[in-house]
Parts: sequence; structure tokens; C-alpha cells
Amino acid sequence: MEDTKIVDLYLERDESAISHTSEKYGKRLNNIAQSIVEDNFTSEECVNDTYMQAWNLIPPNEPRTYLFSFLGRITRHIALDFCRRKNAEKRYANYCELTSEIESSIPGSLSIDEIIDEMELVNSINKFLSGLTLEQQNIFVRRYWYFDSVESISKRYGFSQSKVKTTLFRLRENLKTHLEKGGFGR
Amino acid sequence: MKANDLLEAIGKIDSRFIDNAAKAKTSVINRKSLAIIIAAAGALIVAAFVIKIAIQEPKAIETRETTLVLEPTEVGADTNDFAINSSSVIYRGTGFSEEEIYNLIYEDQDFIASAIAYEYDCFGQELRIFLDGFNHVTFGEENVIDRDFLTLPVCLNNEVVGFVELFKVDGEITYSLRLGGETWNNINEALNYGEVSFAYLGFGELAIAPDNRVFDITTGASSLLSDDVDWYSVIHTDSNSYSAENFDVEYDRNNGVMDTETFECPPYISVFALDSIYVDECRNLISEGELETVTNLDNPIVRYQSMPGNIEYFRIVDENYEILLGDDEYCYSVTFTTTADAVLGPITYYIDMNGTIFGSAYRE
Repeated sequence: MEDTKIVDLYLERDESAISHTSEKYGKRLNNIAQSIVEDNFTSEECVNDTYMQAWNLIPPNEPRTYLFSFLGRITRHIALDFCRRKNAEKRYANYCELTSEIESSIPGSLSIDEIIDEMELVNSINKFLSGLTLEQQNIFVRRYWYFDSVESISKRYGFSQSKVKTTLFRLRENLKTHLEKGGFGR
Repeated sequence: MKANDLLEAIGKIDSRFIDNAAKAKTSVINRKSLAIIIAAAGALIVAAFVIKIAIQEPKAIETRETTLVLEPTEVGADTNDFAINSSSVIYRGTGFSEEEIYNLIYEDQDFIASAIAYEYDCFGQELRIFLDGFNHVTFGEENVIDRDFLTLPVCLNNEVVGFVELFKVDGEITYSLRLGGETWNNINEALNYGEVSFAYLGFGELAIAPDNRVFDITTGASSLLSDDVDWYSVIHTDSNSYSAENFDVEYDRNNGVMDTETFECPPYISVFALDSIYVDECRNLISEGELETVTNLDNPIVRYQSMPGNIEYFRIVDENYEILLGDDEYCYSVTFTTTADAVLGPITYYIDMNGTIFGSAYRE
């Protein structure tokens, strides 16, 4: 079913919207959650919570042209939030790896809560991505949006793992510089 | 948690980036298929180019302005102080030992050479991978030379055609290859000025010549910087500069092509790319034949050499087979050193331009 029709079902408060969403995007959403939380049961919970939140958020939102990214954002948020809350009890290897990697992109004194509005940060990241080549954009987004492993990215695009690692390293360095220049630090 | 917040923010990026990344996918293809695809693509490009030339009027060359944002700065009185934007150049990382560099390149030379040969269709030609690389300066609030990034130039026919970029993270060394595009023309043009210093500026890569001419090696744009600051000297250090002489690049200055008698070349590994499929076939011949006692099948030496004389090799192919030689009557040779029967000497196979193994050297 087309995204716009699925969104119509949400707007009409038709519960079949959820089954259609699950049918079309369930597997991909589960992949995103699984990349972070690393167990089937929890990732299924994250995806089910995603459907619940989507039900509550549509309307007022009408993501007819970006339904997957809309749902994916929710899944990411739920999975990240889950790890953040549970991290004290259990170490999630992928989550630790990702946060440790992305930590290097954070300018020295950046304190997001105190200093900036999150949307400004998002806009700045959008601007950063716009300045990249398509290849760089895809590598960055696959790693930090979809949470793909380096191995998976290298297979997807036919690059060596070292190329992916090198590219990510440079992109993180450049993101840090970009954020600094944008006033998100020091 | 800061990192988590940043990941959350990335989660809200524009959906077009997400869609692009979802769509883009390449399938893994084997090298033989790759060679066929490259050959087919090359033929199409040539055909398209010929057609384009035929139907288009000559077009004026467009010039582009660079958008360099190097700000003039007051360099300290101390001439050894190479300050940029009022910040000193600092070093980071532990760097690479000569042995580490050599081992990495030596072990992977066949793959590197093959990758380059696919890109430039230069199978059999000599490629030089220089082991004495350079770092770049990264301009920013701090101007950093990262010792854990090392760029090794690769030269073909006295021109730079690619970089092997070494990269160290958590003590582990990896590398990537940078090939293709117009970058190399731009680098070679910059090297016409003799020595250049390299720098990163944002996403751009710059080569700065001694006369303050700056080349954007990604776009090819170039311009002269203000004379207020001698940028070349300011960022020039041993580890971020390279010269045409170092590269063994032919360059045209007042004295024309350099004098090769007086110049000392930095260390390099000379490799001859041969499609690894043929090397594998040579290995198979050894494994399947009577020479199975030979155990050392790794790292064969591949050469592009003159055709051996009739009494120097044993012909494997049918006598009706017409051996196809390259320019100057050259063919490839693949030589395996031996262990178990080393007394007989190395094993060498000869391969023609069709990729057919047509003979083997006598061993006695």
C-alpha cells in the first residue's frame, strides 16, 4: 500500500493503518532497533511502541511523503532512550560503540541542554550533510541514522572496510569543526 | 549524555538524506566481471566522447574562482614559528614506522596494483608506490598535522595517479585507495611548480606552491594568495610537503625535465599490475601439476618484460596459438619463489596480452 494511503488510514483512525505499516516497514524498523538494543524481544517492543506513537502523532502530523523516515525517527528515539535508561544495568556494545564514535564529533564545551535549541543543531547537521558528496552522505547516514555496522556499509556500497572507517573518521572530525564554527562549542 | 543527544539530533535530519541512503546500494561483483564492466564502460565513454566532439561546437574554457578563506595573519618574529590564524601547528598521533609502512604495502601490493590497473587500464606497466609519504595540515582553530594519517603517492609513467592513504586507529593500521577523477591532473599541475605543501581546509584539499599559488586539488581551481603572508613557508614542514623530484614526476620548469642523475629518490615499491585472475591461474598450474611440493605460493613477483628467447622458456600452449605481445614485444611474467625444491630456482610463467599462460621458464 502506498504511504499516502497508509497515512490516510491513520487520519481516519482506522486501526488497519498499523497492520499495513507493520507489513510494509516492520522489518526495516526492526533492523534499526535491533542494531541498537541487540535483542529480538526488546527490538520488537521498540517497534510496537513506534506504532503506538505513530498512532498518537498522526494526526496532527501527515507524513505522506516521508512515512519511513518519520517512523524510523521514532524507532531510533525509543531504542536510544531504552539504552540510555538501561545502560547502567547492561552495556549495549553497539550503543557504546556508536556513542563513543560520535562523542568525537562533539565540540569541547558543548552542552546541548543548556546552550542550544535542538532544532538549530539539527539544522546545522543538515547543512553539514548538504556539503558532502552523495557517497559521504550515505556512509554517514547509514552509520549514524540506520546504525549499520562498518562491515554492512562496506558490503552495501562495495567499499573496503578501511575506506568506510577512514571516511567516517574524517566525517566525524569535519562535523566537529562544522559544529564549532556554527557556535556549538567554545 | 552528550553523544546520545547528538545521535538523537542526527535522527531528525532531513528525510531526503535518509531516503537517499535507503536507495543507494551497489552489488558486489567479482573482479572478472568488474574488468568486463570497466572495459564496456570505457568503450561507451570513448564512443560518447567521440560523438560529443563530433556534434558540439568548441567551447570556451570556463574559469572558476576559488573561495579560499585563508585569513592573513601576523606571523611571529620567530621565523621557525609557522603560525596560521594565530595558532601554531600542532602534531597529533603516533605515526608509522618505516617497517610498518613497508610491510603493509608489500603484503598488499598485488591488490593495490590490480585496483589501480583496473582504474587506469595499465596492466603490466610499472607502478611506483612511494613509502615516504606526507601528512596534511588541517586548518581550523588549531592547525593540526595528524601523524596517524599518511598519504603515499602512486606514480605511473612519471605522474601521480593515486594515493594510498594509511590510517591508524587504536594502534591498528588500515588503508584506503584514492583513485580516479580529475584530482590527479590537478596534483600534477601543482607539482609543475616544483615543491608543494598540502593542507586540508574544510572539505577541500589544497596544494600550496612556493609562489603562494594555491591549487584546490579537488576542483582544479587555482589562485594566487595575497603576498601578505608566505603561506607556503608558513605551513611548510617536512611532513606535509612533497616535490616533483620526490615523486619522480616529470615537470617542466626552466631546466625542463629534471636531471635524474643527481636526484635521490625516496624509497618505493615497484609493482607491475597483472590481473589477479591470471596470477591465480598460475598458482593453480603449480598446485595441480607436478610441482605441488612448492609451498610458497604467496606474493609472486609480477613483471612486464621483454619476450623471453626461444631457448629460455618451455612453450605450454599449442604451437598454432598466436602469442599476443604488448608494445615493444613485452609480456607478463609471474615468478614464485620456492622452498621445497629451491635448488631448481624460482618458477616463472609467461602470460601474453590475452591473459593466456603460454610458457614457463626452464628450471635447472
